[in-house]
Amino acid sequence: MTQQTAQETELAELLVEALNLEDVAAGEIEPEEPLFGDGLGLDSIDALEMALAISQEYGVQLRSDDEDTREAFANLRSLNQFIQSHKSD
Amino acid sequence: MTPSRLLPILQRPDDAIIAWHGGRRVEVGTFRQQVLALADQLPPARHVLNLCADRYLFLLSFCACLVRGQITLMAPNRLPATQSDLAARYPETVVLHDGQTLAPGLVAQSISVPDRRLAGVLPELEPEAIAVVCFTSGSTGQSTATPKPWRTLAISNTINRDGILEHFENHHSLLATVPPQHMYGMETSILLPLLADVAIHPGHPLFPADVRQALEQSPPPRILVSTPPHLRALNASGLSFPPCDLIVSATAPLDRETALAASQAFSAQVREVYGCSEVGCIARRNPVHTTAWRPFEVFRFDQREDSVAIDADHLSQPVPLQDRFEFLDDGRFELRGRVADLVNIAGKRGSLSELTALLQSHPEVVDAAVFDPESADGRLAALVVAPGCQARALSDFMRAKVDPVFVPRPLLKVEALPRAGSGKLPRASLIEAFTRARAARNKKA
Repeated sequence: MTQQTAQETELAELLVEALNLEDVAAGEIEPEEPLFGDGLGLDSIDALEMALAISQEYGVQLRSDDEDTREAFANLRSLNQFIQSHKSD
Repeated sequence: MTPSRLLPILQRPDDAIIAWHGGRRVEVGTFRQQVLALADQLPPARHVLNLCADRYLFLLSFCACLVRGQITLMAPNRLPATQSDLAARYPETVVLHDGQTLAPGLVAQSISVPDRRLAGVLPELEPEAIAVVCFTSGSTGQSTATPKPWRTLAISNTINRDGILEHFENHHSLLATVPPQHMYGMETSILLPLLADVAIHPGHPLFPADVRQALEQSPPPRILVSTPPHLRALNASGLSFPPCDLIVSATAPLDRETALAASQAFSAQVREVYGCSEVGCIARRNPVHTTAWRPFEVFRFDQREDSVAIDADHLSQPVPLQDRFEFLDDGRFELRGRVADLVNIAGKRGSLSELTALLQSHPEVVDAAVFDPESADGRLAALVVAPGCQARALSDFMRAKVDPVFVPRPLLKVEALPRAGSGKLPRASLIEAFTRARAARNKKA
């Protein structure tokens, strides 16, 4: 699998903890594997929890035009890029 | 035999505002003409699966279907597998959508606001004409269908307006965080604007920042229609929100703490509604002040052996309810837990026996049980006997067929389920086996 960057690992660890993903080791989340639906299998409950954890940890508010629009959060890599580009510092 | 009196679809003056779309107000007169134009453009169909995410497009196309006499199937989710199941079950089904993934082989039409408008009044409907079919739980393959005649929806709409909007009858913008395809969303954001003085926001915001933006786009005074998990997320976000007059909550009990925090964050009154898809809204309470529910006056309750059935003149037949009731002297009631099989997760209703049957239908599954471990995150769990198959494959299998919130987490493989000789699976044994399996799994990791 493609290697996680240090930032991606940190984000993966946050997700595993915040979403109570018992079956998943943070280091094993493929950076380009889908987070929602097939792949990691996250759902709308996770989306809200994830938004809260990310806002608390990184100070970034997740946005979506529509419940089904998750391009920025399609996978760990794109989610990290979204967060990094929206951090204020 | 005297002919039944026809019932109108729309009961508001032409100059009232029914929605906001593309940043502009939509007046009832314009809406009416758009509905007629769209009705003209719809393909022939007996049944319709309306997947539209834009709430205004759903409203437009739903009314166009009423005009054409096409029955809307209230799909529990937008999964292609569900689309195929419903289309196979209901003849001449057409899918209406605004960009969703479609199941292969179905007739589909993309919905947008029509360029032209057609002058004319909307036809009135036969009271017994079936307008929608709703399903008892999330797995359409096996769940019971409840067809609803227009008469039932029209009367429910009046009950809802009086019960939900009491003291808030002046014009309001209305934002909902629930889908229009779900009965709660249908009642509050699709049917209600046909009768009451509300203008709907076209969005379906998920994240707190989206809710804030949508409220900012909605001129005050505002009504927010939401659910307990969403309200908890809004409270926890730390964002400041534009004020609302009223917050409506339903689908699961709203705890006092969340209600109080929301009422403060939005400077709003919180009005919680109790109901079910088959009947609609039944009772209301203000959870900041009380736990007891006040039923809407039209309903009669019939205490049977294990459960309570509800009846009213506008219902085709009494409907058994899935909760345990304790009636107080003044006609109000308290809820005392659920009758066993149905669960409610993230506002959606599922059946444990149906979910178990689904898991058991997988070719590699020898035995399985889906249950509610009553854990903090509210999710279901499952124990599965499936020697030839990975747990992950079983989760993926379920996720293709039901809303992801019903996929058990964790889904644990075991050697055998702790069934008694009779085949029954006592809850205590199930929980014990679950706890052991989980501890064993965590030790390995």
